[in-house]
Amino acid sequence: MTSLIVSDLIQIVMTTLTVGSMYALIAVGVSLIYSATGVINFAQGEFVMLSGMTVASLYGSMGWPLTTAIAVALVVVLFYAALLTLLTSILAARISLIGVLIITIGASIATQGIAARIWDSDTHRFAPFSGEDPIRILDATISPQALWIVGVTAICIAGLIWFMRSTMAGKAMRACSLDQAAATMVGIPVKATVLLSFTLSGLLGAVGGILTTPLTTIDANSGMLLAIKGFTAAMLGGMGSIPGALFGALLIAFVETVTVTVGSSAFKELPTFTIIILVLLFLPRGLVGGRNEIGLQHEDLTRQ
Amino acid sequence: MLDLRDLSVSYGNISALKNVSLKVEAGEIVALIGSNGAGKSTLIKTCAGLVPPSAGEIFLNETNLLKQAPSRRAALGIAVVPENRRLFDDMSVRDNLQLGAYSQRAHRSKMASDMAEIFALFPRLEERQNQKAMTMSGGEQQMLAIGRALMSRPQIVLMDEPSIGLAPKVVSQIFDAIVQMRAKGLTVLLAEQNASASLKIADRAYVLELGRVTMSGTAKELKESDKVRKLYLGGGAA
Ligand SMILES: Nc1ncnc2c1ncn2[C@@H]1O[C@H](COP(=O)(O)OP(=O)(O)O)[C@@H](O)[C@H]1O
Ligand SMILES: [Mg+2]
Repeated sequence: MTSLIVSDLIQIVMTTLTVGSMYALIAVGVSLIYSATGVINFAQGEFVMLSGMTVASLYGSMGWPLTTAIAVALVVVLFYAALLTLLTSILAARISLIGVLIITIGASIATQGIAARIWDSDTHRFAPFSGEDPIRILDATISPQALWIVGVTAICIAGLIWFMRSTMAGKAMRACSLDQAAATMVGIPVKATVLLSFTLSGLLGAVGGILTTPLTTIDANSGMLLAIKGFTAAMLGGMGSIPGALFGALLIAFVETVTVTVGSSAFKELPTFTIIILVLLFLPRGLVGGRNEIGLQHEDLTRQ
Repeated sequence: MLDLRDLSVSYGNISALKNVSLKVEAGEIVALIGSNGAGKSTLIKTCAGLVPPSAGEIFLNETNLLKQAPSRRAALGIAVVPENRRLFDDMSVRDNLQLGAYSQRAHRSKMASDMAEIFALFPRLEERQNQKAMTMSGGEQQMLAIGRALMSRPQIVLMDEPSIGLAPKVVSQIFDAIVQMRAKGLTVLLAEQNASASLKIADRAYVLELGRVTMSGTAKELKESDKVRKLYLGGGAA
């Protein structure tokens, strides 16, 4: 009886960490781009989809070596990130931030359509890195891929935090997010910094797609829901804060896992949407508190 | 060193600078005196590339600054202590100083000694180097803004009202530091409403009124002029 409860707990913790890692990779990416530009990038999930689909077809179907397939996927995602940078920077100079946000939703939908053309609308996956045999702890079963997901995510996010706190390029990114004019005056090229933030966000999303596809499968339309999860996690943690995004992602994954475990998988998406509404209403700065006093940059939509 | 020729700037249909010509020679402290709204900040922002001029030219030595991207100008030797300081609030004093040296990041080895020099000028900054910029007092923040500007090894520093909001004692501390910096070869353009403090340390000065230069001369000449005394030094006869 006790071992059953312990097994359940282990299962819940592992699922939370695995799912939370995926959400964290997206949430941190959303947060990075928001810090650099003020734009909420709803095309963030497309990084995951593009990398997952690329590896699934090159490695899964065509039998290329895994490393080559991963390298191609990263190139595809970097190219896509550069395109998004170009699109959003051109538009941001001309239309409101809310307008740019809507454009990123449009970009996401367009990408889904193009992906469905290039590939198809079926779900895809490829073999896990360390085989399919689950690891058993008491009655809990853990997929070795889950360990890959949690481990690599931890390394990526720790590396990113180190980069932002300790390198000149990382500090320059933070400086840009705090005050673009002051950053320009000390010589920081703001546009290059924006490109860097999209690049890093893209890489995080790509890592997510490559790690999770063997476990969760992927299809051309997977990106949007993931972007919403990432956005919710980033908002919950406080937009602009990397530790906040990580924390928000784990919290959402935990609530989701518990909902599915004690309730039903039919309610899986309910917590996310409940949380986003509650956060937007009552906690616009998030739990950790992002950089903005009033939460998301406020725009007066009534004034034209 | 810095040469502004017939510079005009407008915001929409508000004209903020009208045909302003101004020169700062190497090693000088030049005061730019004007009351609120005279156009001091606009002049400095235009030099920094944050505001585009509608006419005129800006030369730094032989370089036409207006042809240089704003983020390139720090590397060319022009540093700004902006209005309201504009520190990177959420970052440490040390990080702010390091970012000041962003344009010099190719010469990393010099960063430590440059920072030591700034700590010698403003010992308070050394004591507080790990503190976040926004948690410091107004005077300390101003010292940090100046320190951040110096970290780019500039030829000229443009300062926008460094004395604003500070107690007289802190102002004289900061102005003493400006004099020390000049002694080491720095050139300074000092925009100020505080005419009495700035004319004390300046070599020459310009008076800006509603976007026009209405007077210029040596600091001594301006201090003795009736108009400056009446309008900016808060006094009648002396
Ligand atoms: N961003 C802006 N938009 C419109 N008008 C501005 C802006 N900034 C300054 N001005 C106007 O330009 C004039 C000069 O302002 P400014 O350069 O800030 O003067 P100072 O720094 O001497 O107080 C003022 O009339 C001010 O209202
Ligand atoms: Mg001003």
